[in-house]
Amino acid sequence: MAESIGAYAREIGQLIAEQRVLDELRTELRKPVPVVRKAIRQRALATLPRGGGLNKWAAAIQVKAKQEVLGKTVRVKLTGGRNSAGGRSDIRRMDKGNVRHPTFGNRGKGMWHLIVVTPGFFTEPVTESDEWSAAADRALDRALDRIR
Amino acid sequence: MARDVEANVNVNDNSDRGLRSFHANMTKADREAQDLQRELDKAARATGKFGSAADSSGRQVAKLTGEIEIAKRELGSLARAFADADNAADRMDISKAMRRQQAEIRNLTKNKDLLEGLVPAIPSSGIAGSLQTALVTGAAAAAPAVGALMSAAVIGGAGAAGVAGGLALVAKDERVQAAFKGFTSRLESDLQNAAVPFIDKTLDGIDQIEAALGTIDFDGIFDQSSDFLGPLTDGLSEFIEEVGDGLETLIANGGPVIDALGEGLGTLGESLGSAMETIAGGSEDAGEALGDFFTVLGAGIEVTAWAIRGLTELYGVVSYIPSKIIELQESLGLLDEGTESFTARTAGAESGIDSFRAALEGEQEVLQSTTASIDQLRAAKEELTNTNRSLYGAETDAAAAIAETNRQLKENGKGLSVNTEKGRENREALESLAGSLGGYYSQLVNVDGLTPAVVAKGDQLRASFIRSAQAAGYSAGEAKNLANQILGIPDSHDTKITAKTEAALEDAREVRRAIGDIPDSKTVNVNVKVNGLSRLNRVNNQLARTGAGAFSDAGYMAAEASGGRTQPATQAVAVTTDVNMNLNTDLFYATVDSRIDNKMRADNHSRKYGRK
Repeated sequence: MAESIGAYAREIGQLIAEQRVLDELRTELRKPVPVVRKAIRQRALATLPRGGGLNKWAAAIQVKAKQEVLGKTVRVKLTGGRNSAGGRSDIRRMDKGNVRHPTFGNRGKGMWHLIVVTPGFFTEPVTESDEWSAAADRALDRALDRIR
Repeated sequence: MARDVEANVNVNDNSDRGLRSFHANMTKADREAQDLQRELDKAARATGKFGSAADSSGRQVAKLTGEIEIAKRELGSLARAFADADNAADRMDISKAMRRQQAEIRNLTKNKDLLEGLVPAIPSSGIAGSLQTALVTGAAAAAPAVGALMSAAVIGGAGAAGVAGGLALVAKDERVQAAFKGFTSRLESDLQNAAVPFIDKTLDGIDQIEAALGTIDFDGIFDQSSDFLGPLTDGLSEFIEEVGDGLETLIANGGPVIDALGEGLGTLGESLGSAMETIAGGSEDAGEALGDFFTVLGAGIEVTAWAIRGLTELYGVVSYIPSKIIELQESLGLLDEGTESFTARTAGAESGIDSFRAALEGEQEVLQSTTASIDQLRAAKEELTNTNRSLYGAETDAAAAIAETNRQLKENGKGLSVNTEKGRENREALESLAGSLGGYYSQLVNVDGLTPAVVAKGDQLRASFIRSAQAAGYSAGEAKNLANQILGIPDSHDTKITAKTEAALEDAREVRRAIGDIPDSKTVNVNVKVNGLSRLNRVNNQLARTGAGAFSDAGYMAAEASGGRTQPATQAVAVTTDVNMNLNTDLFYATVDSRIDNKMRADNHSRKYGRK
């Protein structure tokens, strides 16, 4: 705790100058990533079709997390993808509700079909998670604890 | 990559605004506190400076006062020596020494006057006590001097008008009296011896003196001298009033400490009053007291003035402190405002938290349902595990049954008669084999469903059973019939896969209905502005070649009548025609298939030769 009003004011100024809130946000916003990753897998298992093991296949996608600082904004970018026999799988389209798949493993002409699945198995768990808000609150609390 | 799915979570830090406002308020509060501290330090320094200066000046004044006293005593000694002198030469020397001594006293008095202005500020400590003592002392010392001043002024005024006044003034002097006393005694003895021859002449002289004195108007002199008393009294009264007014002002500004100074100056007033009473008294000490009065009173008043000024400044500082406190409070008020703003923002945050909490409750409901789903999923998973375990056991049983049957058939050889023991053993072995293989197949269907792999496995099991039946003595046809009867594994050629196609068919029908709802033709109104007959014909021909129609007759005729030119230029000729839009879905599907084929070709090419 500051010894005088001046020292207290200087501490506040230092808090602003060093962008401690932003630092704490960067630290805290890493923590929800494992929880959200687990939520994505659970949502894939629950909402995508079981036939052919599509839900298990989608639940096994690789989820990468990357953090960026854009001015006063901390961005957590979650990317999901997986390789398949024909190259990179179109997980983005799957998240939008469309899956293009070969029939019984036959990948020849006319053997590919498009089916409609429940959209948002990836984006919805990310955006609906309350872990982000909790992490932001924790970051603000930790930053302001120094001047309280 | 373009095929990867992305989700961004952006958290914006908006705490800067509130923090900066809070920081500005706290900085201002700190600045006010520093200003207050500086003023207090300044007051403390001024107080200390005044204290040291006053002490130094006091010591100098005391020293000069002591020297003046010494000079006075020496002057008294000279006066007594003058009185005791036997001849005129000694008296002349003594008289010179007395004048020097008087000159020294005047110089000392001037030096005391020089101390004026050397007392710049207020004392650092003990202000009330020290100043009260100084004022009372100064007033007490000034009191007899004031009285002597008044006498000297009155009588001096009379003496200035004539010799009698000067003689009277000299006669009042103690030293003159002492000298005159000795002079009288000596004169008396001398006169007794030497004055006899001069008696007659003296008497004549006295007569002459008396006659001369008779020419002096003493009544007029003193009558005129008394007129000086009125203006002098007025000046004194004005002096007292001025002092009183200044004192009141100082008391108003100076506070309780000045009250003590008032008491001291009150004493001075009393002394001045008593001085008025002694105006008519003798003129003793009048000469000396005149200088002493101005010295002591002047120094006292000067010290008092500086002290009062210092106190006033101090009081100003003291009264300045509450204003600083008020400014500080105002700053704290700003701080409160900042806090209120911060609180308001916090309230906004709370409302956000409330909505967030409400959302969270909704999420909890979803979570509960999700939990139920998870329970169901867990139960299903356990059931699946049990099924897998059963399947695993069934597979083992099937393999054991096949081995046991083969061993049995190998021992017994062919034979299916119910009348022989070996025949019955073979029949029982086939029955047991059918049960094991059928159970295994059922488990497979339960776990994996009727997939092509399961069907293939069923064919394999069925063929194994048929081989065993043939080994036991059945023909191929009989063995197939037996398999159909007791095995429970259908031939793959007879397998009927029932797909739940109702929803898909319904979707297809809906798509078809949607396509059917699209009109086969659409009427498009085309507004054509033509500015020439040849162009009008060309446009008409082009429309006609589309097979969709041409200009309406009325429109064409109107345009033709005006030479193919619209008059005025802004007027458009409206021509209506029908354009048929053929919806050929084959083209759409062909395009899609072509795109897919191209993509697959490209993918195959990439896998085989790498990316282009």
